[in-house]
Amino acid sequence: MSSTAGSMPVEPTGARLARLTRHLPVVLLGLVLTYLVIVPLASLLVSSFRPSGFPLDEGWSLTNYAAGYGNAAFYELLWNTMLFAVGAMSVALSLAILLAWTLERTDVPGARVFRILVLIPIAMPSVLLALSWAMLANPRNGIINVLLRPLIGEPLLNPYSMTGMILIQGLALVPTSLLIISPTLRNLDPSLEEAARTSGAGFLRTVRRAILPTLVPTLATATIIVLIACFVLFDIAGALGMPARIYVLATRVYYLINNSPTGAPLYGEVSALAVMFLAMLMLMGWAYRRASRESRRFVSITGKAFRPRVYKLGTWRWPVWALLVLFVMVSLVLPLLVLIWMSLMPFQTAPSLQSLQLLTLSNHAELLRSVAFGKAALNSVVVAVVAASMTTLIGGLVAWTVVRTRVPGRGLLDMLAFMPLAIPGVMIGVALIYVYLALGRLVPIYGTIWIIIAGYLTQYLPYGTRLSSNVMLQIHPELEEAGRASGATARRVLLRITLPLVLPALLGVWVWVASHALRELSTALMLQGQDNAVITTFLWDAWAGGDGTRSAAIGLWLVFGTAFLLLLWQVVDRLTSRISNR
Amino acid sequence: MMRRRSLLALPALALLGLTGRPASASPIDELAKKAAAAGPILWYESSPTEEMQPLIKAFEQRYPGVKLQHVRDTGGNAMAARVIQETQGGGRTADVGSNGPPILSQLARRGLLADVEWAGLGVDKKVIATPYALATAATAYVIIYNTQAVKQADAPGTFEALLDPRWKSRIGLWNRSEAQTSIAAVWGEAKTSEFIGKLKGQQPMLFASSFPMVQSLASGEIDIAWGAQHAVRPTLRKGGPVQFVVPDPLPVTTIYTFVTKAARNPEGAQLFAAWLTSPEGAKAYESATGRGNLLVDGTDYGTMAKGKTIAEIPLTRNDEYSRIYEAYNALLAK
Repeated sequence: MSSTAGSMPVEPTGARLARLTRHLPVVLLGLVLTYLVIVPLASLLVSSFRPSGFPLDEGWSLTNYAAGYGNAAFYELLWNTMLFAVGAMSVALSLAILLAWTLERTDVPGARVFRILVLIPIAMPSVLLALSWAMLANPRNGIINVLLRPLIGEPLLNPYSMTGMILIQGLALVPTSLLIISPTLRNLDPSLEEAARTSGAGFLRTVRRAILPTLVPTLATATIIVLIACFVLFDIAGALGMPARIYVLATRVYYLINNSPTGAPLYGEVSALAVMFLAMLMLMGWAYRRASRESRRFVSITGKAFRPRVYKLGTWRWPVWALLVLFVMVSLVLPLLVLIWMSLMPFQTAPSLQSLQLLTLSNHAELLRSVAFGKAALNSVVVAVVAASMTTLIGGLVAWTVVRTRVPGRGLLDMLAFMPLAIPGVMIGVALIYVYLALGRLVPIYGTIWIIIAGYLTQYLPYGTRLSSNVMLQIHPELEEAGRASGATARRVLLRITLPLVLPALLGVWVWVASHALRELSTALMLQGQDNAVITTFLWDAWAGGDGTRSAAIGLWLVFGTAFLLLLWQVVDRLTSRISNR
Repeated sequence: MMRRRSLLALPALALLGLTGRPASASPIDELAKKAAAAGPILWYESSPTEEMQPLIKAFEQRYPGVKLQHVRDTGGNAMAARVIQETQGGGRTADVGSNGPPILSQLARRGLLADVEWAGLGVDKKVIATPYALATAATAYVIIYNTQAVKQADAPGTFEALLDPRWKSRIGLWNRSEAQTSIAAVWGEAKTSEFIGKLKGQQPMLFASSFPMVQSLASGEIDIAWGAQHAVRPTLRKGGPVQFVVPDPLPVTTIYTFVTKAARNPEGAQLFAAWLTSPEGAKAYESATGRGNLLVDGTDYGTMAKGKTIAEIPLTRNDEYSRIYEAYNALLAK
């Protein structure tokens, strides 16, 4: 052993130090991710093998897997879930691709305004969205059906059906899909399209041969994120499916957590089911990495200046504009009008001329007078800003390390950052409760807003990382190579070249996380203490306490707040684009 | 008769220190003194904290120096999970909590609840369910109807009346079978199962809770519902078109109050639990939550249930309750 060592060339201390320093950021990132991801993941796995499901209880068993997967009902649920998830994903992605293309690459009138309008539904809490659609389209007295009844007799729409659930969940996921797809379409290098057209390719062939390959990682990201979301999100599937006895896996998870006859949540069975989500995610992650490798051939931001090609719609300009208006009406205006109506009513009542006499501002007036609401709103803003900033920072750094460096272990970092997508928020909550109770006085954040921020950081990390990766994949390394060749340090290259190029996309990530943190409920409820109420827990208090119209008023303020955030983002986005174009 | 009952109640009230007259060094006085020195009592319960403020004020006025802090439980099985995790993690958990039989049984099985000599504190024997549980309120499941769609005379007065074909596709049910499980105590399992099967033939809509169900009822989406009576209160208070019928038998689920072994203020926890069973405490709780104590004289719930057969599987038969509850949940869900 010693002779072998003796025969090896000794690395100079300076070189070793330099190597260590070079790898230090990756090591630090790895540690952060281990803390954020491995702890909840380990808690989930341990829980799945504990007979009671509580990670700190005793005993090991496979009973949770047997209970979760060992019955015919599970496969029926799985089939329903696949139908629901694939259907909603198809609706969300096809609409998002069409919208992104129209708003980023055509000369449709009012694109700038539409870009904000189509994103606003992101702010509407899903439970209120489901309720709005129930009031709009329920077969008994839904407004749309009532209006159409003289013409067609039978109710036209029914939200309490698989089709209704798919359409509404699909619509709810359009803004998320759009935020993933739009930046890539905006950054497409027109030279690829021009080359295709010069060689005689028509529009469809250009799309197939020059545009789609560039979009593959982005579309793969959107597919994975939306598909997994449809598997785990409860609100719409629960609110619209349960009344008609249409169940999906998320409804089963809800039942296991809230309604089990044992008096305690069946975390073990929930974890065992989540292991299937993890396996699906890893499979999709592998497919994503393959797709990303292929797409490196299609980098679109190079050293050459370019302006994305804008397609002239010609005579289709106004018909396309009308379709956009129709989309905004269905996805935003109609549910928002119901929300406004509800917030102005003393109790839930169907819109009618007769009900107009009940109009009141009391829900809003009470909110504005409420000290607790003010405190919850402030908590929400702090949680959203801090969680969004930290997620963007960590996600951006992970993406940069994975996409732009060749350091060993970057694949593991990528995988770690992706994992939380499959961990149900409630199981992240379970892990955090144990961690911060154990850390006690050392990190006294149990029961404060900081434990909610920690939860969101883990929950939204996959989105932050993946969205940043997509844009970085589009940037040609020649820009950074040029910087390094001119003697710039890695830090300087990152700050002066890479960052300005990816800043608009990072802003998009920030907005996405902030909007979701503002409207997130289940983790906030799980981690609720005495002093960390946020707007959504406040909304839930009203909802669960039977005051649906008050919860609508709270939801409305949430929508206004997020709309303001989106407006601000558009302004900043324009400003940064102008600066980077100079 | 009423007067005699009030006189008989006086010794117990004196023990609880609730008569307004000073009682000399009673066990309650001792508890109050220790409770005041031990910091705030942490109470886990499922109502909005804002609505509990009058109750907190009434208790703190009754026992000056003793502080009560309410933490809202988020429903379902969350309270048991929270107490278990906080105890295992060595953190601060509830001193005292109020919830239904499954939660108490789960915590009792894990040895997390403290046995208390309640009778020695002057607590009425009627409300002492077990050494670790005091009956402090109940949820009653009634037939609720939309007054604009259904005339009072036409409203179903019994559960069997819900099977009338005219109510087809007009009924709402809670997806948790607590009401049906309780009624099995009177009807028996077989009859209740058969009834649920027939009720499903009426194509009812299922809801995750009685509260949104009543909201849907008020909006006219459904006309009849079988749900928790206290869920009617917020809509009724705001003038909504809802009313309810109290059927016979009346299914209920008792809400018990417990003291945890990990309590940092166990004296305060006992003091508060005992106070909740007093007429003053029971009224304060009923006024705040709409759920009253059927075992305490003078509550609205007591008046509502007068002459009705109360249907409930007691806490001591929780295994039976769990088995039936799970089977009926599955039956409703199919």
